[in-house]
Amino acid sequence: MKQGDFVAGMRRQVGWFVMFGIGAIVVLLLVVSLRTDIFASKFSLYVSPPSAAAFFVGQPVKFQGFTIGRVNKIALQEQGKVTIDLHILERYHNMLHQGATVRLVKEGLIGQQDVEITPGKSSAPVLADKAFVGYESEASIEQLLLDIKPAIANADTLLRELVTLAKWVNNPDGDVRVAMANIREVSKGLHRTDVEKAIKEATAAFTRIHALTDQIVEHKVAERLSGSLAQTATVLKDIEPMVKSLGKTGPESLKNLNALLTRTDKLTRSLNGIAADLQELTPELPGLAQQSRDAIEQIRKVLDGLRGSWLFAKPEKPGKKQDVAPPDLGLHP
Amino acid sequence: MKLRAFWLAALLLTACGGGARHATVDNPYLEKSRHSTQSGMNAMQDGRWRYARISFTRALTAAQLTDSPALVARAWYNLGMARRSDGQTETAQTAFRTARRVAEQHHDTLTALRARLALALLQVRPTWRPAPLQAKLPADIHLSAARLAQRQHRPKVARAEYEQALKRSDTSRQGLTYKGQAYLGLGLLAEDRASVRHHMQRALKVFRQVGTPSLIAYTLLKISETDESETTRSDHLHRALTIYRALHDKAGEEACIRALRKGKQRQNGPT
Repeated sequence: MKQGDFVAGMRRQVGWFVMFGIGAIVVLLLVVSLRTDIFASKFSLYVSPPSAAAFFVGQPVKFQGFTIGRVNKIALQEQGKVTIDLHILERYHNMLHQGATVRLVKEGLIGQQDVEITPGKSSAPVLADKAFVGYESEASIEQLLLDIKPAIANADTLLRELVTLAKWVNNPDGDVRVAMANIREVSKGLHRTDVEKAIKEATAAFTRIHALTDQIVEHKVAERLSGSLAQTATVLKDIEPMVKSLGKTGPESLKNLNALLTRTDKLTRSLNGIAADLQELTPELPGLAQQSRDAIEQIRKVLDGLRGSWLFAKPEKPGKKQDVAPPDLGLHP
Repeated sequence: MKLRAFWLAALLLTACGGGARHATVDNPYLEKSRHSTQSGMNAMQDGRWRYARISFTRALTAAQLTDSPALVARAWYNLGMARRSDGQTETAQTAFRTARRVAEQHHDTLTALRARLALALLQVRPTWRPAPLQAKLPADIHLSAARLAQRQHRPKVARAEYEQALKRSDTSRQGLTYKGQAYLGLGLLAEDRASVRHHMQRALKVFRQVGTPSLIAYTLLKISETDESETTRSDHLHRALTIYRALHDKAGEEACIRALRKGKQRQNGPT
């Protein structure tokens, strides 16, 4: 074989190799561009949320669950206004009408937040390029806080009711205790010979018991406790849906929620203590008191579950619990 | 080679770090003791001495079941304080003595010191003078030491201890109550009327913030002693009287009524 032929053959082979390489790169670029819409025609939409905290460049913009664009640029205007530039694929342009809004959504508890755009009114004209769309704050934490406030108020009422009830039942001069004392007195009297006196005392005691029955009806003990239980159930009802909604909230708002939950937790613990005292001191009402405690315990578990979730990775540090009784300095007359 | 070994070791360490956590087992009696102690503390804050005694007794039983001398000593001390507040001086002394004995046996200096101070404060004329305390003790100890020194007519020591109590008090409800008590103590120690009023007003502000009606009433009673105007004095006394009545505190009520009578007598005196 001549040396010239050998060189020509090598050149040909190298040429084919280089061409094949370049071709592979071109095909790869083509596939990537087709798959990622890098070179696809796009149009811009602007949105101005109150904070850019949950946005980042490259964040997917979703429409009906499909990625139709990405966040292209985040800018802070001179007046402190946040402007976010969304690049949307041109082929979806005709689906977005005036009145469309942008909001942040999260599909589950774990994962990043996506930008979601709504279609707007189908009867309205299609959005123009570089148009501003409204930002819709998801029925978020503010709404949740508003929702939970009545629950807290309910729990407050429950606490007050239990305290009032415990005080009323345990009042040494109150009807319950006086009636009990009278009955004890009567039972002593029956062992004596003075039957007449015993009968008198019994009559007096029964009069008091009758008054007590009236008092119970008047005070509506059972109704009050049932009411309290109903309120507790309301608290539960209000708290549980929050778990589902939490994923859609921003980290800053979660801090506020965490503070509120700490308060609820504290409140439920107090309620638990009061219910325990009530149960111990009023054995005549164990069933309802136990039910109250169970319901309260359930709330606490829900809250503990919430606090244990990754969303509360940085919970407020609980203050160091005092375990030494305060000294009595004799500061009284 | 060395570098590769380093990376391998690092990788292994990282892998170990991500392993499953060991399950922890909590002593149920420890939890029970904590819970009962917390119930007792809440009851003490609300002035429900009977509930406090019940809770601290439960906490003591649970603490004994955990076989933790430190916990037992503290439980005895807490029970003693609840009994003391409930007016059961004799049984309170027994509790404080037991707390002191257990704490000293097991080198729990803080509880031992607390119990000794509480025992000394229970005496009509306390004679025990503790050695100068370290600056970094808990606020309640400084406060007790200050009160003891005050009752022993050692104003300098008392003032220094109150100042320490102020420094060591945190921003919790209990901490703020200690702060208010320290201001009140400083007010009681102050020599001129302006200082007395200044400290008392600060104490009053703190007590109002944390909600300690008996201390508010006591401060109002003490402020009234420095009032120049009879109208202001009467107002302070009436406010204190209202609180004492609401609290069913007979001694407080009588003190206010006596002070009000004295005021009337002073007014009627010249005529």
